[in-house]
Amino acid sequence: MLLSESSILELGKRIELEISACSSSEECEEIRVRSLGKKGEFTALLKDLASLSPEEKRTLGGLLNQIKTGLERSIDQRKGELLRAETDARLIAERIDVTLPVRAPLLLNLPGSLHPLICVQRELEQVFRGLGFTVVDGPEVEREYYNFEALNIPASHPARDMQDTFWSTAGDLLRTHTSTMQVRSLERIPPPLRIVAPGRVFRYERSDATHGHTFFQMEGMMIDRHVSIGHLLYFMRTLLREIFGSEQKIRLRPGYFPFVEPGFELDIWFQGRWMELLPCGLVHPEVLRSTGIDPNEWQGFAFGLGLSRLVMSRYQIDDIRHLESGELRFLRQFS
Amino acid sequence: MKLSRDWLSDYVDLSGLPEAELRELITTKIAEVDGTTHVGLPLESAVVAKVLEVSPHPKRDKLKLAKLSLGESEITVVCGAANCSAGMFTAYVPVGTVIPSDKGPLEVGEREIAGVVSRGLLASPYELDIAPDHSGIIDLSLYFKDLPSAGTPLRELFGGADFIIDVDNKSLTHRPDLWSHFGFARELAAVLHQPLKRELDQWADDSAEGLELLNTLGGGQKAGRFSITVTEGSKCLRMSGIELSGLKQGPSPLWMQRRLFSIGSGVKNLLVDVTNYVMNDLGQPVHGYDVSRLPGSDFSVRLASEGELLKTLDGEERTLSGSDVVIACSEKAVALAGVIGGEATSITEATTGLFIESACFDPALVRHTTKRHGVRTDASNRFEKNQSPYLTVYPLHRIVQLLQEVQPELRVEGSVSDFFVKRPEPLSIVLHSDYVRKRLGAELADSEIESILGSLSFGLRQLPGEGARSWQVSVPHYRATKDISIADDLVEEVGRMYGYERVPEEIPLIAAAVTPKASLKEFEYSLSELLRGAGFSETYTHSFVNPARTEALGYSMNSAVTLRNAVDTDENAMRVSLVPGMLSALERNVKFEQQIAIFELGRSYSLSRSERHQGLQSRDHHKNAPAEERRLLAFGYVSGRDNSGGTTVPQLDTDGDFYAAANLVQRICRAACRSDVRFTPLKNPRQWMHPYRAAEIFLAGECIGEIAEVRPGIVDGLKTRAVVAELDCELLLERSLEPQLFTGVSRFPDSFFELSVVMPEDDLFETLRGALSAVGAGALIRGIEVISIYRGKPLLDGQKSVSVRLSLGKRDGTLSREELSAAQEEFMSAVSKSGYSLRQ
Repeated sequence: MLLSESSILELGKRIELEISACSSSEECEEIRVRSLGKKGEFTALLKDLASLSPEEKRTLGGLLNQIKTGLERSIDQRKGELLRAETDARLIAERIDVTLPVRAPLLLNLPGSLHPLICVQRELEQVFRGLGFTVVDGPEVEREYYNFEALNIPASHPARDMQDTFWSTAGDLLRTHTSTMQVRSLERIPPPLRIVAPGRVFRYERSDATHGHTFFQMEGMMIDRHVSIGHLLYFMRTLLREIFGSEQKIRLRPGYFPFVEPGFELDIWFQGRWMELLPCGLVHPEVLRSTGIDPNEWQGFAFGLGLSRLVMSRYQIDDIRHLESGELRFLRQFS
Repeated sequence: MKLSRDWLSDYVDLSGLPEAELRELITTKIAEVDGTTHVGLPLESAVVAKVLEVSPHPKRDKLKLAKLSLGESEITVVCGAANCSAGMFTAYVPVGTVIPSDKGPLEVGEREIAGVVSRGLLASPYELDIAPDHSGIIDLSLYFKDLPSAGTPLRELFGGADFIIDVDNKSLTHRPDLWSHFGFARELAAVLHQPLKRELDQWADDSAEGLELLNTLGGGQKAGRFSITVTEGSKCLRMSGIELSGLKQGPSPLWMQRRLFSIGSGVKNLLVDVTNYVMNDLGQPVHGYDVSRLPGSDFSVRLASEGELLKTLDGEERTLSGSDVVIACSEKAVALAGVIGGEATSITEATTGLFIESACFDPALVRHTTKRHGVRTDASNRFEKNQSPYLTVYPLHRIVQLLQEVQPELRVEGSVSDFFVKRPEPLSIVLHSDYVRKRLGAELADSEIESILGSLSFGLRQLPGEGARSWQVSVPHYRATKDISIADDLVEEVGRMYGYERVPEEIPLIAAAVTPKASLKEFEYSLSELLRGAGFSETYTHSFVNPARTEALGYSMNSAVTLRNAVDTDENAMRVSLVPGMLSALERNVKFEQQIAIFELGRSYSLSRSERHQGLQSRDHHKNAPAEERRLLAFGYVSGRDNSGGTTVPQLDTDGDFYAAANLVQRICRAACRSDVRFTPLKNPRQWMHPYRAAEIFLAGECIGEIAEVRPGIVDGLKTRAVVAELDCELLLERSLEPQLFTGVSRFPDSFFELSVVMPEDDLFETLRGALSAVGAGALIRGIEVISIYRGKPLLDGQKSVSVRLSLGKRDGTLSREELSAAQEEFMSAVSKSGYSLRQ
């Protein structure tokens, strides 16, 4: 065929008609191959271009490319429409009556499993319930007040940097520790009281093997007429005995938390090294005062157990990111 | 903060204390140790070498062969340093020594370099790990007037390797007094029951010696020409300064470089290094201005004016606000107070005169400024901790002393200029020994309490009285700024020094009371047990989601909690449903598993509140919470079977995965003591759902969740069919608590009745059941079972025949033949009244 403006336009028009007439996405694809593929009709015209004069090359070449782009667009568009219609048709064909009464039970020959965090958390709750503690739950998106001010950490306090915080656009935060439950409990339960509060906490930091931006803690607090470090030690040692099944080698060292005084860290000797496990201390008089409790009358201790860390050490998990991976190859190891 | 053992030893005797023990002492009595290292290890094996002759390397232009005398022996090594020349005294490092290099620690080996074997090498200060200088091999003549003889071990000249202790800064948040070597040494001396080798506290300028020092520094009473004014409201507690002239810039002495280098501080030049050194030595930040670059001699501390400009040492042009505080000279800002100095007046290589400023600022101000300008420095870190204002003058004296050692010709231009805004009141606290014993739960003697507090420089004055002692305890100024303010703080001081490990365990006497049940939690545990029993694995996914992706799955993010600072900028919102996370978890697992069954118990977060949820009992501790957090259960199920067939599959429709999952929902509801769960088609299915295989889950007329097959193609990596459901645990729990009543047991067998109903394909079984139950005989129905569903001839297209079996019965007897046929009549007419026909 002699290459001319009219022949190009004519071929283009014909292919456009074919595109609009085709009735399936498959057919659409066939047209693409037939016209624009390596051996396609339209591609053949482009090859003919070589024999023309430079002047003709420029004018006809431009036209060819313009039409080609148009055809490609038409094919894509039509194919998209058809695909959607085809999917819709398939989905309709698959419709079921969701109200039918179910007969067949879901029977799986799979080893179900509980998340190691929940196993340990539950065990701890049982230990503490046995010791007369109430398990309480509170919000994870929290007011600045409960996370900081009420815990003796005013706005200009450098301890705010100790816990890099996620802030919400509304000006609230994601709790950086379960210690928020200290004041929430003091507000609701008149002393004497004993509570534990397990839950998710958040720190604004990149995740690596030992640090997650999300992890689990368990807060504990006891308020009574006379509470000493000796009492705190009794509960902490009992807790470790129950969890590990035997007396554990521990170490206490000073640790700074504005909401306890004195404050210290309890480390546990684990696999040949000291592991930081339990920050704890006697409740700071300011914390009691902030909820209207007279520190001359009531005293207490508080602790914040690192649940994620305890789980990792108990099961010898080397990377904290496994805990939130959702991977069955990890999860199924804990039945 | 890093501490050098060598440096600490200036003030406290640590000889004979093993490194591990030093670390342990700091950890258990003072602060948390992040780690320890050694600096300068090559010194342990290096020896002095005299370069006898230097000849060119036979093959390499840039290398030389250096013949060395090591005293007893001679050796030739290959050396690339430009400064290697005959007659030079330098350091030879033998084979086997580990030296620092750009690529990390490197063991010196026997090496062939272009045909010449070199055993050991000549080292730069950097390679000896004592200073950053890497420009050439060390030239000992620069540091020693009397040159050591060849072969002398370097450790005899420089001391051996130093032990560096890295203390966790966070554990020093409350201890401004520990941000220096002197401060730590003072604490260690108390721990070790030792006197300090050098006592500096008497120099604090509220003491007589301090006042004398203030007057004599500068060699006379002549006032300096620089004046200092602190403007009211500028949050500066004090500013002192002194002028020095006749200085010469150059490198700082090697011992100083080594100390700064070993604690990771930069090394620049003498005048800069000396200010850094004093800060790390004494804890007080000091700043040097080049006198020749200052616009005048009248310093002031004032609030910045809005929009005032200051180019700081780090090269940043900063626009100040009305709440920033600046140090100004002739009204022109020359430093951002407590944080960083200005560039225009900073020390240069040509500086010969200095004005050294030593000041104290309000910690809140400094924190505010560092945050606003995004800059933190060693100075701001210290001021934020609440420094004592009594520390500003002695460091000036110390700088003069250090500079005089290398430049005896320097001049001190007049006495110290000083503006002390207000001397803090001395702090004292009443402490009863019984209080200490009661709080600790330990039986310490009064004398032990006295001795511990005394060793930490607390002043004790015994109060009159019988029995257990009480004291008026005066707090040293460097601990009185914030750290120690109440008796409980003193209990901590006694406790840590006494040793918490010595406190005996004590079982408390407590009131026996029933602890309230955590019902929701217990309920959730029972659900997780059920799901585990069904073969499901529990998972946790995190609470952050990508809002665009969540919306694309069909959830509105209008009321979502969004984050101002997300770790991953795409995931900057809190989840509104567990489903998106569940879909991702399925996607992740599908690569490895054919069958997947997982569940999660977790929360969604929303800024919009429903009254229904706010009223729930499980929300006791959520009062005034910023968001509504719902407790949800989601599960995901991939059977691995081809499940695409739908209505064209010849088996019963209910064999598909959707029904299997719906069965699990039924079991979950049964665990909540409910057998009345209903599924109704979702009118507006979410984008992730198969639009014709999606249902709402109803319990007692209230929607408690959703269940759907996943729409094919919506999740990229999920090519197989999957079903996902999500339920509201709190609503479920509440329903489970509704009282259950016994309805009696029938002693009579049921009768059965089957009928096949032809109805349009799109009509629901639920409609049919409704029609059958609505009639009078509906009261007899004890169960409806679907036996089969038939499509095809002779039925028309779009029709189906549903065969059901009704179990009928009553409590007080068997149905009679007449009763049964009357019931059948009723049911059949109900069918035709609904517009359906019976298939014969």
